[in-house]
Amino acid sequence: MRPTKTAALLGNFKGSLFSDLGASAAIGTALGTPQFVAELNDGFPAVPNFSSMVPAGHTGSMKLFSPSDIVGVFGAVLYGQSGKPGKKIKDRKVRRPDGGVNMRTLTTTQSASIVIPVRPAICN
Amino acid sequence: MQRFRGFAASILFAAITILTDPALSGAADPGTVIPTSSEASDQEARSGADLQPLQLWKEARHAHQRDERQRSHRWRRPNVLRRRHDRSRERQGRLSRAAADGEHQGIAVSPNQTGYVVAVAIDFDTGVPLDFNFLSGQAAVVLPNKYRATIPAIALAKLTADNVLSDDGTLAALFLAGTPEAGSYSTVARVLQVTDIPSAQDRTATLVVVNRIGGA
Repeated sequence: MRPTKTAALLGNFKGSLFSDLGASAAIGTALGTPQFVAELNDGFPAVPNFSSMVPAGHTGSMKLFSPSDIVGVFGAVLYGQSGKPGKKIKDRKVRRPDGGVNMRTLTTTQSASIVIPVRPAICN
Repeated sequence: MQRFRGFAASILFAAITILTDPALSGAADPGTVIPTSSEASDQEARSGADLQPLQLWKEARHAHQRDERQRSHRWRRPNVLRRRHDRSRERQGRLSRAAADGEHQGIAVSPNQTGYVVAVAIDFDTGVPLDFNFLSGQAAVVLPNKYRATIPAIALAKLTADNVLSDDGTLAALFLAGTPEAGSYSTVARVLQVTDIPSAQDRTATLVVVNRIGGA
């Protein structure tokens, strides 16, 4: 084994976006980083784009995966307020949907691995 | 005595090359169907390898602010403040070393960087991974634009007490295979799902974060 140098990259990453109207969109990116951070808007790599898939008053769901079996992933979704917050502090507190959740696991891989350095613990 | 330590990978928001393919919308799920008895779907933190997203930029920013405060007041209590200053730098240095994956690359964690932390239970004296499946944790994520949440760590259990080490004993391989073999942990997700995504036109923003677990 060679020394630990860097985290593995996500590489090609795919997925599907579904709306509650029954439509589906393809998601596909090539990522040169181990972490993918993207806001769900029209800049999100989905075809058709996000706003046409999930219009106002509707909801959607999404699956994300790598085509490679050696890629183990975990993910989270954070919620915020996209529009300008209300002028009153009370309004902002009530209407702001803060929070986040870990993504649910649909399937798992048995081929992921990670190499860590072995050193005695440094304590105080 | 048992202790654990973690290492992190620092990753920036990078330019994303979009490769769209309409045929992907019908793509089937790859991978192994998760068994109902598996802990992999259980997002309660309760095991040997805690995987959690973390805002490293926040830690770096706070360390910088601490240093600035201490620097401006050092003339009052030089001894105490110098010690605190050194500790904060040491803590920041640990994160930076972790981000550089073992002190090799010297990448510092700076503002606007995000990343994740993998914490592994190890033997205090030897540093080898332990089957100590009682770690738990959470990350308070605060992004500079409108997102803030507390995300629980995702736990993976070490399945045996045996390890797979390099010939010189300086590296350990963790296999997220779910099999009762040396160095094996429970399986990790390959396909992720999120439901009830609100519309961006309803004044609700949604941020998706996906991290790959791996590296050598």
